[in-house]
Amino acid sequence: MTQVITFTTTNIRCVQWHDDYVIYDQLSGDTHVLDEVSGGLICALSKQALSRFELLAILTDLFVEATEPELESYLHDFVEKFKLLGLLISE
Amino acid sequence: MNNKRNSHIASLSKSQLQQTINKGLDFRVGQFNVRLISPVKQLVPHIQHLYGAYDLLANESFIDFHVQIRAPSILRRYIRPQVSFFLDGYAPFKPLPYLQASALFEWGLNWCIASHANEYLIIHAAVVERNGQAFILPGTPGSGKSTLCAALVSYGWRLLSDEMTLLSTHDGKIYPVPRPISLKNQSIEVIKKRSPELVFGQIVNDTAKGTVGHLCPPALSVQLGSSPALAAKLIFPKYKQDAETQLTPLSKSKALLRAAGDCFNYNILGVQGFDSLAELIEQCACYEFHYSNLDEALALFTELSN
Repeated sequence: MTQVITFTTTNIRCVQWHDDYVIYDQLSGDTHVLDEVSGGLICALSKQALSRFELLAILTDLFVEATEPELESYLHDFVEKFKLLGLLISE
Repeated sequence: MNNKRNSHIASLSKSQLQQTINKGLDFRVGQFNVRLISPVKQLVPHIQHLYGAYDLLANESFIDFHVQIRAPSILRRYIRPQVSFFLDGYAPFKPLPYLQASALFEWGLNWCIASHANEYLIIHAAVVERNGQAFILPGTPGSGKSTLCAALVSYGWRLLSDEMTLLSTHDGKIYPVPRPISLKNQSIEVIKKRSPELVFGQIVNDTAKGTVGHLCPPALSVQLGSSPALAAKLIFPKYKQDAETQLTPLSKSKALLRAAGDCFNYNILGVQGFDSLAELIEQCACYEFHYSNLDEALALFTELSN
């Protein structure tokens, strides 16, 4: 049976102004400014853990004209980047 | 009965002031009660000229900062005299030459507030008010914030602080800490030339910051030291020689990131600091401001505050 990996964030605060999100990581004390897509995903993850499939579904809604490989690639980069920043945790 | 209640430092004669400072001068600066004890005679004219409008405290008042300015050792009273700043008997800084006592007092009191007043998010920023709108001007040394602040204050704006903006984490208001405005190097002459009626304290040369002069705060701003203000604009000034006057809107996200970097205690307050700053940014219009001409700057700020 395949184990479903879900993603969640560290304890963060999100503020959105127009297309920008400002994220405060309560664990590290770091403040980040993120674009609409990354910020939207991080904020969604701060509310509940989401699987890769669910994250892809959000991206598909945002980028209706993008191909599946493009979305997969974006999600891969997103996960790696935000794991490195310490904001994203896989469970 | 306490005969000190509601009287100002200006009510003391020079000799009374000197005697009082020797034993302990208790006075109010914005939200803070300060006790200054010092045998350094050079401090007397500094306090007399720049702190006349400040309230003396009743005898039983709680004191926030017990400050002493004195020689670090007996020998240093006589041989190449030096002075040290003490808070509760602790000297956080290296001693300075005796002639820099007044500057040391000002810098030391800044340090007291910046290091201890964690009920506020403290932004390294001047803050002035007109028509009920506080304008916050964050900036690193050399950005021209104090010069701009001095020019605005000499033009009738209320001074809340030339150095630190105290944003309450409880009610989101800006609490004043009106103090003498610290000007450096060419800024001193620029402001003296524009407003010869303004009162400066002793000009101190050869400090770590160059030549330093402190400008007397307006009496009305000192008297309003307990009245908070509502922030309306967050403007990052930058003086550059021959620069055209230019006000550029700044996105709220970038403004928050920059302002966080200008705070003394953002990391200490943690999420409370972030929440307070985010609320402040939400209520403010945010700009970058480049200038070289103070007249144009004053006209623009006046227009913004109308």
